[in-house]
Amino acid sequence: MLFNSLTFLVFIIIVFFAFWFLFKSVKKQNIFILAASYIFYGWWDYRFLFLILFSTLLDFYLAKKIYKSTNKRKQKNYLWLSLIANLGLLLVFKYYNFFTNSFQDLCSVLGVHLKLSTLNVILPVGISFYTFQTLSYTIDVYRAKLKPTKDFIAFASFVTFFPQLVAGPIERATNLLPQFYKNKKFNFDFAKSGVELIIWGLFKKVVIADSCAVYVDYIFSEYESQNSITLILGAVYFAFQIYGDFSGYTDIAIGTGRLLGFNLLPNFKTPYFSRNIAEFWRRWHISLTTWFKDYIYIPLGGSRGSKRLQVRNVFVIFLISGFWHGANWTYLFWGGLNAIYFIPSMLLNNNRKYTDKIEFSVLSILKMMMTFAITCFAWIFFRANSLTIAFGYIKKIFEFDISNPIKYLSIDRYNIEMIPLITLFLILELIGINKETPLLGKYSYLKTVSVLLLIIMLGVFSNQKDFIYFQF
Amino acid sequence: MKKFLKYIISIVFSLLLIAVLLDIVYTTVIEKTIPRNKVRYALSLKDKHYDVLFLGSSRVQNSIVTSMFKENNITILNMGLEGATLGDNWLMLDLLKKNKVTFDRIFVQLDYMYNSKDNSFSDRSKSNLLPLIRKKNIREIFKKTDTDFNKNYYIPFYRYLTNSYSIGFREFVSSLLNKKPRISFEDGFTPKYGNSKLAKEQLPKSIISHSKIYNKINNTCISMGVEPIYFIAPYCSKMIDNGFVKKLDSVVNNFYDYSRSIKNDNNFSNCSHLNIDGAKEFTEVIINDFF
Repeated sequence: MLFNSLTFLVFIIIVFFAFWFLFKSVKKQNIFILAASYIFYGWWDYRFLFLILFSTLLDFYLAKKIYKSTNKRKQKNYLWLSLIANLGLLLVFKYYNFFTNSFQDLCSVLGVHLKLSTLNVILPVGISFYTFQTLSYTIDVYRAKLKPTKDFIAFASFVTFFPQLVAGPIERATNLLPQFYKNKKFNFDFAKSGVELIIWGLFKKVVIADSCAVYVDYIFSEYESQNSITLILGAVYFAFQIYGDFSGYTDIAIGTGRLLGFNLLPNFKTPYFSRNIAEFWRRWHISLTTWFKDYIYIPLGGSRGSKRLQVRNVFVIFLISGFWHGANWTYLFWGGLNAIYFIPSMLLNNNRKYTDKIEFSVLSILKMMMTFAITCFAWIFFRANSLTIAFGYIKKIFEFDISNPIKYLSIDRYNIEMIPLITLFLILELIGINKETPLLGKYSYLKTVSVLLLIIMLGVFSNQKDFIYFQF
Repeated sequence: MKKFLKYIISIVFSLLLIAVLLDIVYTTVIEKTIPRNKVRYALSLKDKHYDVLFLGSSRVQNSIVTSMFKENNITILNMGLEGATLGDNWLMLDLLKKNKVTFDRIFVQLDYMYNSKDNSFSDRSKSNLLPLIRKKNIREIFKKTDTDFNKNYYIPFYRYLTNSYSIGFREFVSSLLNKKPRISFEDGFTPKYGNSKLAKEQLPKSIISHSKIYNKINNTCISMGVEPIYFIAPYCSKMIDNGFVKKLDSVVNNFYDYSRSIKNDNNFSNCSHLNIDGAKEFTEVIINDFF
């Protein structure tokens, strides 16, 4: 069920009214949320519901076992069991074919021709998100940061909460789980902010991301016949496509949660206004970055220890982050490239230099542009279907071919047409730089209606696209 | 909650108001400005006579050089449409007939699309006409053929939203600015240049025994007093025929096979589309054979 579909609109209207008018007690509300979440997921493919149920049951049970056990070794064994089971699911569904094919390719390079069988299964939507969510719960219980819940329905609702089930934000039990214990009281301002977030998220998705996608798909598939300017624009458009797509999804998820009285974690903070790559990673996909920081980077030693260890830790974290996105060498390369970008600021101790406050001096703007440029360069690897294509694309850029700079993408479409739209988006982002959305504050109703007008006029509805992060 | 419901109702009301206003503005602008596609161009023609009409897909649009006919004092309409179905060809013919546009000869290009079982229009033709759905003659066409008729007709702006790629904001602005279309419809010919690597293509192995839409085209032409001439446009040497052309010949009256009429593969832009040189050569063949 896509957030930008009519089906979801009908679904959320039914869920909203049933939640507030039919179910008054917490228990009943949680049962209803759980049922709605299973319907939401099952709408895509009901066969994979058993995977979520398995993960839910396993971690609910193991967390209890960890908490009850006084023996450290036993606790560790239970944690390992949770890690192996959850990551095992990921390995089978997401990475098995990649490892098999890569091993086969390696053997054939060495002259050994193997024919290993691969799995013919589709990747269950959202598996990387809910797996990490349940894992964080078990790890937090193991670290005694959290007491395991006795309420299975609340826990199952936490794991499957439909607004964030398939593409995050990856919630922490410490934030979301307690919200399932409290009786919800309807709050007008909170729900209104939810509607504004949904509308702003829709704008990002159907106006910005899907418009960019028309150009990006064409430029990347026909990169061999494009000139340098078009290829640079292709990478810039993709930067806005992926941002509009993913942060748009997050806004809709957070907004939908608020309609039901839940507050989800923020996931983006205007990342393209970052002044260095470290700041970018504090503003981009925050829930995943902090997950990696808390559960991998800090246990590895983080920024403590020798410089060599620090560099190793940064590489580990970025390579895992790349690999988390997908079973393809392009994602690994993208992760590695980001590590290379990050290391100089870490070694110079200025990775914490920029706090949340953004200033717009000439130097800051230059730094923002530089950070955006290197981010776009890395996005080429993220978007390309293979490393060969990515390198081919970059090679074509550096041929500095500027002949025929305005090329037809298809009938009557010019590649410069997107620039005014992206400029408008950046202005709106600037207006809302210290707010959740630019729609908040004075004249919010007028701003909301204006954005609705833009959605209707400029949105892409004829060639609707799935959210990019559904595939991860 | 009451306050929130009032807020939601006001948002929905604003949305509806926006949709109604945009529907009126878009439709008025598109109606009052120059036609920017061939379907609307066909609608704009009234009480005219041409010597020749060519119907078909891009394989007609890119292959029939209209200027060569005009040099021989032959008036011509090239109504080949990229991605056209036989349903589109019939629609074009029907619109021209209703507008009393007459012809001495009608050429209809046929190939694998003969096998399409339904008589529906392509998205492109459909969307080109959708702005005019509230006009009586267009409404009748959609009522019979469009599965989304009720949504397109009754929900304001719905048709512009769901066809935003072809009749959305960009098209609205282009119409508003009276921006001329990329091709001249009076000419109707769009040349292709150069030639890419020719890939192997195949025609179907079988043919359907009865095509409703072919019969419809045939009957419309006859009701216009013209016996249609059907032909298959050229393919490159890499096209595998699978005996389809022979089968087409056996089920279609007055059929001409030009599938191998252009021998030089350098005259193709891709295996099923001629480049400008190929188009000139093919047009020459047609003129010599029929005029």
